Amino acid sequence: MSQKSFETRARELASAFAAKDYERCSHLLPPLKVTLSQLNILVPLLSSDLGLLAVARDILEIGALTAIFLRDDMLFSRYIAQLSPFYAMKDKIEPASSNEKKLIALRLLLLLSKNDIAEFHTELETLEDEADKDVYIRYPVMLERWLMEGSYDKVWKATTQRSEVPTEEFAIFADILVDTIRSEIATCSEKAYPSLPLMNAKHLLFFTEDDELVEFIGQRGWTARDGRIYFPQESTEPLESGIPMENIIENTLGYARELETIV
Amino acid sequence: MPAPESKEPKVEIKDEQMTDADTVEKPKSPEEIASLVLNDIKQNFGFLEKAAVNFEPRFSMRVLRGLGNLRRRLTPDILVNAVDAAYQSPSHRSAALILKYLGKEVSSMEIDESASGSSTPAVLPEIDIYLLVLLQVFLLDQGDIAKLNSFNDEAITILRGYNRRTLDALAAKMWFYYAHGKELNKQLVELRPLLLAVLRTSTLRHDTETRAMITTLLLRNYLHTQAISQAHQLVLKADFPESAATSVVARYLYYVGRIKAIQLDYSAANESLIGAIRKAPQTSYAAGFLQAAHKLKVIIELLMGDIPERSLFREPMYEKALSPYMELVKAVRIGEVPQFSEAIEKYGAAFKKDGTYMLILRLRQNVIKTGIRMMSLSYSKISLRDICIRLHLDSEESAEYIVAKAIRDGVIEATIDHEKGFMQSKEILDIYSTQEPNMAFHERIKFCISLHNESVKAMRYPMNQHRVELKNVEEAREREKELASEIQEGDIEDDDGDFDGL
Repeated sequence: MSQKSFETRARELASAFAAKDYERCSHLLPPLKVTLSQLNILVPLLSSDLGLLAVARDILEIGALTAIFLRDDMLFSRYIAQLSPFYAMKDKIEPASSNEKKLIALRLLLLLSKNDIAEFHTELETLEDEADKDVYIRYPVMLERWLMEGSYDKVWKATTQRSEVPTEEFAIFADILVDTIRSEIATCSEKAYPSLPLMNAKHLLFFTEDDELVEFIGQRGWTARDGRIYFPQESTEPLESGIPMENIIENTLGYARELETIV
Repeated sequence: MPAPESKEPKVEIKDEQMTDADTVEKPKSPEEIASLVLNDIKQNFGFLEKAAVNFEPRFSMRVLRGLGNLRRRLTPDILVNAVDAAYQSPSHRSAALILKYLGKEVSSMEIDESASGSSTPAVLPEIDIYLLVLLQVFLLDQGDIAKLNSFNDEAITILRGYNRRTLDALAAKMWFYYAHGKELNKQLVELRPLLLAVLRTSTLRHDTETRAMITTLLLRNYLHTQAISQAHQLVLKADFPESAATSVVARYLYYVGRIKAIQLDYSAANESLIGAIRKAPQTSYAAGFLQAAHKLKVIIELLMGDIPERSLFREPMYEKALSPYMELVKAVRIGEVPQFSEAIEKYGAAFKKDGTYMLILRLRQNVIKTGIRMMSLSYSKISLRDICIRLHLDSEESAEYIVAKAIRDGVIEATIDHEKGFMQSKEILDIYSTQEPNMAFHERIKFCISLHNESVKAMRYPMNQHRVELKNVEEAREREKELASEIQEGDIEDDDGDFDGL
């Protein structure tokens, strides 16, 4: 295969990406990946040509970033999966990637927005030291910490204010995250307040328009009257439900069976 | 990442004390000690032979248990003598190999060779491998990693030439030191394909010991390189043989606990770690492992909202190692955020070394929650502003969200009045009117039952014993029948007698 045309096409892709022509990138990428696999560098091996590996990695990185801009989560995850073996042997590939940290941080953010906390921490554990130092990685890490302890106002600030967001790629997740925190706040409010004035609710849920709030109230099934929101009260008191007979019978039978094996 | 080998020289202080005690007890000349050690080794040959002939792995296990004690007393001369005793001819492949690495060339043994004649009697593979393991240990203690690794490569080839089930325990040990050598040489990633291949062969051969050992080695390998998802996949896909040596099971459980903890499955992690701690040898040899396991367990308990027992931190074996964790526990218990941050600041390096740092960072929310709970219990009504000040939060707004979340998570029973800006605690439920005691009771019963079942499983049953027992059972049944009929007859008589008495 003509190596030259591969390299020109790689350059073409890079320039299209630089010009933010993501549609064009998405058209250029699939044939390039086919070439990569033909050149045997789609999966890096110790025996592969190390110089070409850097090119392959850059192509995949552009692919991942393009997927972000095109808002294609699945595609992004696939690119990250393909990139991870490259990052695993990063001390052998020259020059080092400038996008690695950013992409990992974006992946963390994606996991966070999907509420996949277990995977988030698994990924984070591989970073250990970098979590506090790297600007990009710090961002999802702080978001997660705030989400977990409940400082939703900080999350709100960090996702919506331009100055707080590291790069434009990160801003794409802001919408998803805002939805996440809004529904979190809503569930918390249901438990925490018996009722809430409409004005305050608007403020708490970070709405700017009244219409949005009204629609949201409808979605959650709350009742609004006299300028207050009344949350549906939990009618089933655990105390009044009586003795959970089935459970107790089941347990006792279990003990009996175990005891029988002992005696 | 802590190094949870049970037999690594992690606890040097302890080791020194032990050797001191030894020398005080029996002040003997080096020659005497050497001959004693040699005798021990020769005795072990006998055990290995028994193990091979009777197909009884217990004897090999016993020999391996003595390894930790033996390794401190090994000298090149003792090893040369042992080789001499075992192989009879130094031209044997393993013998030559061992002598080469001891720096004693075959020439020093020439007299012996002429005495034993030209015929080379076969050496029992168990003894062969045992000596190779001894040399591995010896080279490891010498600290010559390069030499150890090149020896390991050759020794492993010899091992892989054998296929005997009576070798399993020894083979597992050899793989352990092999992998340890590679790890010291930082060849973790390169080691993986070989380990995976060995895992396959050992599974096919029903070689439980090696299989269990290799699984733990692979897990360690993955966790060391932070490849947590691979480790998790391995745990999911590869069955771990429960019947393996307990120390290996303990190590496996520790790794599983670690993986589960990272994936936020705290209760499963806690269970694994309880198992690991219970199954680990409770001697000073395993102090390093036990310390690592306890460290992790303390963090997991905190993450689950429990406070570890204070007595744990007072035990001499753990007191020093766990002191940073003690500070953490204190901070979490009273819910003081600044104290918590201080502890992290102060002991951050130690936590990173233990590999618990990331887990500890997750604790921050627990500290805040405990803080809120303390306040909810102490005050029936408290303003959000005060909460904010007490917990050192940035703003009242944050405080409101945090309290709301605590209410939803069931940490406290309270409501918030937004307009007046305070939190009102609900009356505390009488815990005995809920299902709580029932559930706690159930948990404990379950724990006791599983403890019993595990103990039964851990017992050793002599082979073929069941046949004898079967015979006994038959006899017993006969006797019972007789007894039953006698009782029946006797009953009637007795009854009669009683009536007579009345």
